[in-house]
Amino acid sequence: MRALQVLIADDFENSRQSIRKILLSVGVENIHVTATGKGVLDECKSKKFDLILCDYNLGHGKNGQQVLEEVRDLGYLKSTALFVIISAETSRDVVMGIMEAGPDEYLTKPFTQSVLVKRIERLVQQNGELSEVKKALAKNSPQAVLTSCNQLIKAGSRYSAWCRRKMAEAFYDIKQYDKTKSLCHLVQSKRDLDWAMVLEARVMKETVSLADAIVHLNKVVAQFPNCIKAFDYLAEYLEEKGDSEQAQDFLESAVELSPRVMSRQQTLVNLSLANGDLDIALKSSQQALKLSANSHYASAEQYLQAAQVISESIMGDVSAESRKKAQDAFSLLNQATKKFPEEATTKLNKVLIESQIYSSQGKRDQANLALKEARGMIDEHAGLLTPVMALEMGKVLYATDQHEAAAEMFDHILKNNSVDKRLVAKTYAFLDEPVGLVARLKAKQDNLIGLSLYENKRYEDAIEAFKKAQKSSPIHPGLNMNLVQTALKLMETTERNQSLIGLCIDSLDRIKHITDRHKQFKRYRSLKAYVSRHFQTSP
Amino acid sequence: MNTKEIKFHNVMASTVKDMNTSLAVLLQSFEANGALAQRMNDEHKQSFSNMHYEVARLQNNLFHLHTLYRIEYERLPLVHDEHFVYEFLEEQVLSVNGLFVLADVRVNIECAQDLSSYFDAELVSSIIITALVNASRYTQDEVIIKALPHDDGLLIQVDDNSRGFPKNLLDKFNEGVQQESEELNEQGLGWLYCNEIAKSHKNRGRTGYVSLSNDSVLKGSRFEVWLP
Repeated sequence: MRALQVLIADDFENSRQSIRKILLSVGVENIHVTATGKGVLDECKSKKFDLILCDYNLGHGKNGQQVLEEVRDLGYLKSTALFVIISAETSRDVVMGIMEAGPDEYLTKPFTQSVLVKRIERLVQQNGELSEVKKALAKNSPQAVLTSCNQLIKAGSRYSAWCRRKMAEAFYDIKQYDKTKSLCHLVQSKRDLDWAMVLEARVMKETVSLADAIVHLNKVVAQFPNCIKAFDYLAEYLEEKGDSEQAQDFLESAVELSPRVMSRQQTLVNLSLANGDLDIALKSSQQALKLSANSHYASAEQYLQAAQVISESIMGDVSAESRKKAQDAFSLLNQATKKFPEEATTKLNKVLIESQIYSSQGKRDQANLALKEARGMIDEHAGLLTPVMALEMGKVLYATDQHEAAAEMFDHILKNNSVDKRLVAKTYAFLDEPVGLVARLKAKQDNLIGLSLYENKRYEDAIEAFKKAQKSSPIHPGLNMNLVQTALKLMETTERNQSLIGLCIDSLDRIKHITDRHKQFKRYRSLKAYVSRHFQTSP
Repeated sequence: MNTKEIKFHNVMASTVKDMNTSLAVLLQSFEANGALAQRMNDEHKQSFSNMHYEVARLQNNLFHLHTLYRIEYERLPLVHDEHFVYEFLEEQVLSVNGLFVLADVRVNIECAQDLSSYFDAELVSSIIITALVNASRYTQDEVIIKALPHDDGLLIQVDDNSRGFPKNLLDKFNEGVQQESEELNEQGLGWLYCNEIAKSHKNRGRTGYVSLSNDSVLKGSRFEVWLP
């Protein structure tokens, strides 16, 4: 204890001094104190502490959780440093946020002097015993983690349970899934453990199937409704499976459980945008923006994302209210380039979103002007036109009615096999429905009505509903194919009908943008083959 | 919730937090002045001890209230982690040690050093503190806290050499546990809270419980909590 280098951070002088006195009374000699998050960063940068006692509330700047994330990320801590967050906050949001940041210890106020001392003594003792493992973890070396954990277990360490968990994770990292599985099985002989079940699900995804992993994760959230990791993986796996609406449901639960993690809010923005759920996208983009204040992970991204969501929400709406929202978006974009002036991509992004907003507000000239500026930037730096940017550029070109140039941009993505699957899906999502949100929602509703009519075998009414949906969203693959299938079904029971045949051919013609990388490709191919075989049209 | 309710809940939550801080400061000064109290005459010492006891009770009750509030309105997350039982119990004793020292009560923990178990430390702490504060008040001069693995779970017993729980309290408690009756007399309320917290601990179809009896090895009262 005596030799410990300790840092105490608390915005209240009284609290700092009382903790300091406690430590002095047990012989700790090297104690530094600071009142702010910035103070912790400065101190940690210049000195390697053994123990940091950091209050969650540190006045107006960074809070304890943000400080911990930052000192870790910047590598200011030595691998065996102990970071303790002290907090009088008991609200779930804060507690969950702190837990997710993963301090070495979390101490709730109030505590008595003797409890604090005992806690520190134990932490130091435990840290000594586990130092080899901690070093291995800091070095990101699974092999070394396995070796040192094994030694501890063999020696009968009281931390064997902790070691087994670290070993199970290390085996996963080096893809020894059988060993991960058997360790998870071993530690759960007497009780189910949330972390082990999550790990089992991850192994299932690699060795059995995505579907089985999803079933298993569903069991975890039913049994451990606070296991945030399980929600995160469920959302991720469901999205991978193509069930993005259910993925969003679980991610929303995760956000409700622990709303103070910025990256999760941002994932939710993307997912809800893709699902056309603008209410959630607006809410989570604002949350992410709020959380970015003082955060080490703040970037132009949060501003751009928030502006983008607003832009989507006012598409085709020229009311006074939406004009006001457009101003909010412009102001966010200006803040983005002001705070991150060096980033060329941020500037390009900004100009593209501006053009999009002008277009949706019917301000054609300004939209074109912004587009021209974007083009100029790309001409100057060809490297700026990444696939992600190409999608944005394509959307903007489409909005200014330059459909051919837009198609070129989309080809950039769809014909490039190295492009991420999710970006391809996003591109198709736009190509399938290049209409405003109001139209999209209307189409969705009419499509649902059509489906339920179809189920009740009222095929003629269903066709009318799908046609109505088609008016709102003319080239949407799902509803066009629903229309085709209903027409075919109707012709099974009645006779051939030239107008129905015409309807089928027209509907399939509308969705010929579908290529083999589209998720509905198989359905499209078989319908198209069926129609051309039976009605003898040229393919 | 409407805005008025939200406002009320916010005021309520921050008031509780504030009261909690005040009580903590009070408790800390009781602890800090423990040595001073040792030198007081018996009469002063007794009243010092009474004050300390009542403040400890206040804080504990406030914690119960806050916990129930959080369960109701915030879906309080249970944090079931593995804990070393001896260390956990030692901390609980330390946090109310002033009460025992002042009343010349010997406290022993009987528990294997490396025994570990899964539970929510904060919630189970409030159970044990309730038992300890109560024992500090009624025991003559000795308290034994014993923890052992039992029936695939963890059993913690707090025994004292008091005159034992009054029969009507035991009856009321058992009645309350069995019938989950709505009407509770204030005397048993704290114990029923403890039972609720124990019940919130579940594993493979089994749930925790609290029991009160006069089976103490010290011939006084016994408080028992079993966690699966």
